[in-house]
Amino acid sequence: MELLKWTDDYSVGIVIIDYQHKRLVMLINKLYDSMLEGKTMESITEIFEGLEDYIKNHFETEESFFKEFNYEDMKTHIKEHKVFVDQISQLKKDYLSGKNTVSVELLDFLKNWLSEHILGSDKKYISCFKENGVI
Amino acid sequence: MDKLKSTISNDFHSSKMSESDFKVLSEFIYKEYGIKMPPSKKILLESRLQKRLKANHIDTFKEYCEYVFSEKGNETEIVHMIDVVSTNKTDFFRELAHFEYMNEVLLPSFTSQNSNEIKIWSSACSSGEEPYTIAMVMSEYNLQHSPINFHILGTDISSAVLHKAENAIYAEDRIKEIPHSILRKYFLKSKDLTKPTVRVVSEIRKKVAFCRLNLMADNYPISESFDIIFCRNVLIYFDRITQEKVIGKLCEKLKPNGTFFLGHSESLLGMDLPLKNIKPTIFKKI
Repeated sequence: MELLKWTDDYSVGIVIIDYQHKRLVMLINKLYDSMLEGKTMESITEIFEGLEDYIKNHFETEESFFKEFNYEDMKTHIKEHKVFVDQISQLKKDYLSGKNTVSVELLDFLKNWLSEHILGSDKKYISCFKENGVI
Repeated sequence: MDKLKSTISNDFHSSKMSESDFKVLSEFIYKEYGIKMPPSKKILLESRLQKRLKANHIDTFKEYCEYVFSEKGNETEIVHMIDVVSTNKTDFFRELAHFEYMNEVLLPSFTSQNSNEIKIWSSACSSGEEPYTIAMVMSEYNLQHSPINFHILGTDISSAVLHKAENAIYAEDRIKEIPHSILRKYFLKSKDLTKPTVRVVSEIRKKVAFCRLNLMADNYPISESFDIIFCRNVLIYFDRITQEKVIGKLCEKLKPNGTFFLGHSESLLGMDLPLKNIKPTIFKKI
């Protein structure tokens, strides 16, 4: 079952960013499936950590383009990334310490953040990237 | 004449890669496969990918980027692109950190548990450099510790490379990086000075058994379980679903708490496997 379905609405029209966003959707769905299937804590932790790593990777890609093109909204966007990375890290700590389980709320948070971030902040940099010749 | 000119110009025609296309491809190759592509490698990447453009009848790198990231390109082209980009060398003692880990951590733990037998599988062994390296590491360890009996299996899909592996004869330039103490002990030089080759000594050769195996096959005709499995620099040839399937099947042949070595540019990120990451590219079966 898919928690989050990729549609063309999510496309920012930049090939590498779309590729990474699709992978994020896949990893969030994978976390969701592992929760539904009642996988072990070890297994869920590994998927969680995989998602966390990929999120960081993806943010690094975006940020390296921002720096290269001196993107005007860079500071605000990077700040959003930082807040999200901190939130994910806190959620993982809570999960590992048993304060929280991988719940529907947590997955909803991931799902909503990704959709809102792509449809909002990410779409803003499209013209800057395109002006610099990125396809 | 015009036709001839056009053929010549096509043969010598090579596409130029823009800075932004390089940025996209290098970022992708690094983030997804861990192969570093700093700006100094732009010319290298541009020249290596020319044959992929040609194979796909694509004229520009812009079109190539679009193709790589399209659904079809995702399925079929990325593997070829990474294949061209990675050097695919199968040197002796390649990725030394793995053999150091074997020598310093794994084998001492066998000794302390009084285990006297170890089974190791080099699952994509190509022309034999990896399994012979493992055999040399084991022999060196046994010289200084109470000996562990070891069995090494080398498998590959290609019969031609397995034949080469069994012969264990290599061009001399393949052994440049090997320390002299190892060279002296485990290699014999050919007498023919016009063809400088070396052969792995029989003491090491007989410790490795080779057999043909397609990692994508549904069933592996191997009945035993292994303490250590090497599966390095082979995943790049498969799509992610197949990668997960292949590693899952290899794990079935790995003993509980057995060790799994992956290539330095490969990742099991997001895969559902009974493996726990111990160090970069080193995993334990859980």
